[in-house]
Amino acid sequence: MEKIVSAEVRIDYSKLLDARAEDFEELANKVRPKLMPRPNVDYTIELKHKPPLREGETHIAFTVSACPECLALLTARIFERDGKVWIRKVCPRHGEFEEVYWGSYELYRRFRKWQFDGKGITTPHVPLTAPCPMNCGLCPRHKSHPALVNLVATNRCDLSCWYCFFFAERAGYVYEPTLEHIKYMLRRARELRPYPAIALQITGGEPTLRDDLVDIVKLAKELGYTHVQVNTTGIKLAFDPALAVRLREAGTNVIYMSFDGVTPYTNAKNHWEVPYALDNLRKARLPVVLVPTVIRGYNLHEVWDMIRFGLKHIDVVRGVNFQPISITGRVPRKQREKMRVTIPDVLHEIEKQSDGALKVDDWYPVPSVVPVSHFVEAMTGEIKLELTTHFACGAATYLFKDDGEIVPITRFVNVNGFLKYLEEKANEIKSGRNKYIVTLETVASLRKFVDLSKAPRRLRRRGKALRHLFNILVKHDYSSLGEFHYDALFVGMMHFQDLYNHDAARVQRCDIHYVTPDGRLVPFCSFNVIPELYRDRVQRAYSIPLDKWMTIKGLKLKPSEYKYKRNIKKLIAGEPYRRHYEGIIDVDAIPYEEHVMASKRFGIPVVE
Amino acid sequence: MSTHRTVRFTLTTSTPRALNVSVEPTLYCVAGGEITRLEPSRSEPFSEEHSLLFDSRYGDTLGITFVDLISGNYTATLLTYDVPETCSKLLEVLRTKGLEHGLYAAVYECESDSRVLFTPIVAKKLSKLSEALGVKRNLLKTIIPCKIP
Repeated sequence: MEKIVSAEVRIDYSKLLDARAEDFEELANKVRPKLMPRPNVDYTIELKHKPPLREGETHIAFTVSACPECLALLTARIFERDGKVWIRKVCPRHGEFEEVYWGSYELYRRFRKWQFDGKGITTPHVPLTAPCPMNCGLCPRHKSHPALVNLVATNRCDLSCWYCFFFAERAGYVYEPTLEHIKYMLRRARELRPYPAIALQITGGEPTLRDDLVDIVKLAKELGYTHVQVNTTGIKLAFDPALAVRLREAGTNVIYMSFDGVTPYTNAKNHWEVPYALDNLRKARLPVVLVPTVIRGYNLHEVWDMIRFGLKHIDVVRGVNFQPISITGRVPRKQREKMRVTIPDVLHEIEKQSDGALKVDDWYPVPSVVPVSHFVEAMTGEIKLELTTHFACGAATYLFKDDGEIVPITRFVNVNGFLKYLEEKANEIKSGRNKYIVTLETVASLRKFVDLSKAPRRLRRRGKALRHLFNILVKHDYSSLGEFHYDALFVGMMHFQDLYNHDAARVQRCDIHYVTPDGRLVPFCSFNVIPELYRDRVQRAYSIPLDKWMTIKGLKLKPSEYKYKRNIKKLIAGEPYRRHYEGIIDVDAIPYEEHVMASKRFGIPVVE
Repeated sequence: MSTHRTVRFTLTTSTPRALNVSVEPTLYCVAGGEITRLEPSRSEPFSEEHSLLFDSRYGDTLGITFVDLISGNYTATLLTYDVPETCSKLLEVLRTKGLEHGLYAAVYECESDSRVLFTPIVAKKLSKLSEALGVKRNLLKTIIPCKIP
């Protein structure tokens, strides 16, 4: 093993193509310490200086953040000004940075009430040797166990989107762990205690480019992952119905599909292919979550239309999960302000665009569901999955379709009262009250929290809504959860950080992690926000130079020759295109030339 | 003679979660089945330089990190103890307010400063603690600052 690791931690991965999972473990144990961020080399610690508070500002909290220029660890101040929440930090070398942290202080205060911290990690994969967030792996101080583990299956992609620097041709290497290597990585995530990883997202690059994607899904299932989702543009699925069937049969639970808008102008990535992908997934009975990245001045005006699109195709679309933009790279403040959008901004836009059909008050922060875990845990005595992420990281709600009308869950369930009641009851059991008596009280009280007269018709019949809640909470019958969701659209929001709004308090609570080839689990907002110390460093170490990889694979084509080329004429002429977008956009109003221009401008060539 | 460092602190914060906590450590030397209280040889103001020490003591045990500490209003003192060479293990008793339990115990190996046990001090955990320290349960009861049945 020593012979294939160079001093700069570059591994000759071409010599590992036949290695076993155990070999990867041995190698990882050797290289892991060398791949960690190095103090005074990769970053410095400059925590002494506290940023000033100016007139008209109200202090909220201090935290630790990183300098966007040099990654120095700085003390940052979170404060309120003009009804918004801001973060300010001062680097001794690069000066002051100020960024909007959350678009509404009022919502910030409401969400903050729902913060619960997790049980942490009792089997950390790295020792505590550096300050947060330069010690990720997960370290002993991490507060949340993983809710979702990401596996980068490849950095190859069949697109060359203008903003992306991640794909193989731009990086100059191919990162693509072998199936045996993946076995080692997935085992590592399952080793975590007190709660092992149970949900996996296979991502990329574009994971459908791997011929053995179905085998990865099968492997994950064998290793005990109960939920497997594939994060894709859906382009391959649009043209390969058999792949959708094979993925479903292998155990894939959901396709997580990029979907940045309802028009070609806002979603040049896969606007034309989405209808065909949805048809193939529908036939394969493989549900989809649509994932829009939201950018001010680009697609913020379409957020409600994206939800309408999801509702129109609710037979196959299970959710829409918005991701307000994470600004990567060094971007001047004025430019950032043009793009920056935070969770409250998107929620307000949705309320405005939906004419109040979905209001800001209908949303809850991710950790608000922790009382359900606490209650079930107290009842069963078993540790349960807890979504203890930071309250500012995400928000969610459910929309039910009822005879064409849209009913948010909050209109018939007193979510606030119900969750608080569950937390009280969980605490009572914990402090020694008889759990059977508490159960009886809870069952008797359920009716108090559900207004059946306002519930969707399906849930109204014979008190079905109450029965589902009873089955979930008391019988722990999670098929009831599935039934409850039927005809419901999950609408979520997850705001990943960047170096401008970076807050270590959020990193410490992160529950979306990446499993790295050296067997670490790195929080999303360290992996992608500090890529030079996490994502790029570790993937480059375990990669094969592009030329060499092509020789190994016997490929002679230039990258531009194997990239996806779009046949727009054929795609817009097809019946699925009209059927999917009708009622959402005026499909005849967009001239062909504009379709072509949108695709080309984005970086995807068109077959004329 | 080696040293052992720890932090005494109080913290009131609202972000990201509400905490109103105080933690008062007391250190005991364990040698040959006997246990004696140690007094700090130095007390000094806590500063950012001690962030890693704070995290190593409380990050994974009490779930309170340096980032939590600086988020709100806090007072903190760095305590340094001279540890006699005869000590084989150290028992750190944390008297706390605002947490799930009022008393916690941490056991450290003197040679490596590695923590081998962390547990709330409740009657049912006392045997485990006594085993980890090699000290009789009854002896422990006499030094632990609370009434244990």
